[in-house]
Amino acid sequence: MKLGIITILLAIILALISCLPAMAQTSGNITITMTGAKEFSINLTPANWSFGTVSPDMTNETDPTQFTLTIDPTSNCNVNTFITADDAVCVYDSTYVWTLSSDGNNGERVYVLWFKGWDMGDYIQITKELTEFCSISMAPGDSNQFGLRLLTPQPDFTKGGTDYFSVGNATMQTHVTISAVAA
Amino acid sequence: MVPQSKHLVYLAVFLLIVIILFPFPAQAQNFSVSPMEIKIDNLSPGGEAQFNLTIRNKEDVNHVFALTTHNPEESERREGRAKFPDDSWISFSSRKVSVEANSEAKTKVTVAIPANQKWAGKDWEIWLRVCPEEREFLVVNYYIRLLVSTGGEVEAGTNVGVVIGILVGILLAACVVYYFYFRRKAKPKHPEAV
Repeated sequence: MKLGIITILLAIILALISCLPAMAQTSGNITITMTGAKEFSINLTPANWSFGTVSPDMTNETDPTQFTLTIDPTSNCNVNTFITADDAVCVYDSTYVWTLSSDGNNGERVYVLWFKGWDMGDYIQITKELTEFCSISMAPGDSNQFGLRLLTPQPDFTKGGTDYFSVGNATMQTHVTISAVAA
Repeated sequence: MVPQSKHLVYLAVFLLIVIILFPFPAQAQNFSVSPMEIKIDNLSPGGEAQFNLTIRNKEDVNHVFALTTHNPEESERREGRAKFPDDSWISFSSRKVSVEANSEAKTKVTVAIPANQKWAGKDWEIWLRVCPEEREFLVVNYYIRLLVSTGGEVEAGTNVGVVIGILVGILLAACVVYYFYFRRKAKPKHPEAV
């Protein structure tokens, strides 16, 4: 009878041992640290811009100080900035699209976009992937002016020696995105 | 002497010209996000962590913001941080957040790591992207750094462990009771010597 009781106790101990790892896990602490409880904000002006009427295979540039990016002074850390752009879509016919070039060359319905900071020597191509906008991180209150260069696609057709897009007098719309992340 | 009312007319005309000639530059969506960096430590595989993101709309019109994830290039990640293995481990209480004019809204983010020992002891980084739905030519996007470090052991789940343990215990106890009590009782006693 004694042996029986001992064996039952052993069984209970075994059962408890198998529970222990699971119970021990519940006491582990997960730490969630949130950096920067203040604000994270950048300002970009002007929001809208038009290159006006453009022709096939032509380069158009804005003023090199046309746009201004400012890190809001209320931000509490430095910021890394990136630039991207999208395909351009015809406002009146969304099936007519100019694809943003990935290699710096224009083509039929392929356009190229560059940007240049006011203090930069050369234009840098904008693609759909994140491209560093400012080589150094920007501090709260810093601002950076920049301009854009557009190379329109090659003509859809040529008639009488003149190049044409197949959507004459239409508006093409694209977006240039400035992204920011804590440095 | 020019009457005072005439001065006021001149001033009004001057202001009108100034306003027409120098319109206020429209600004790309003015909004902010906080926090800008989230660090989760000791999150065991099988466990999950939750936190809130706050989006503040600083404009006089309502805006809708979309939330997505983005895996940054190695050069953009913090030192020692690897690529987050699977975007689907991160979920938002809502993928689109509507924020009224001059107000803020919160959205809950959940990070859930599958219960697999191979995800133990890792340091990952992924970015959460907040972008406005209505976009003009120039658009502002924010990325929030999410740094996740996993703990050393797999979290099996308390209930599962306890239930399995209790079941094993009961089974063993039942076997023992059966063997030492019922089976012994059933055994015939040795016949007495005649």
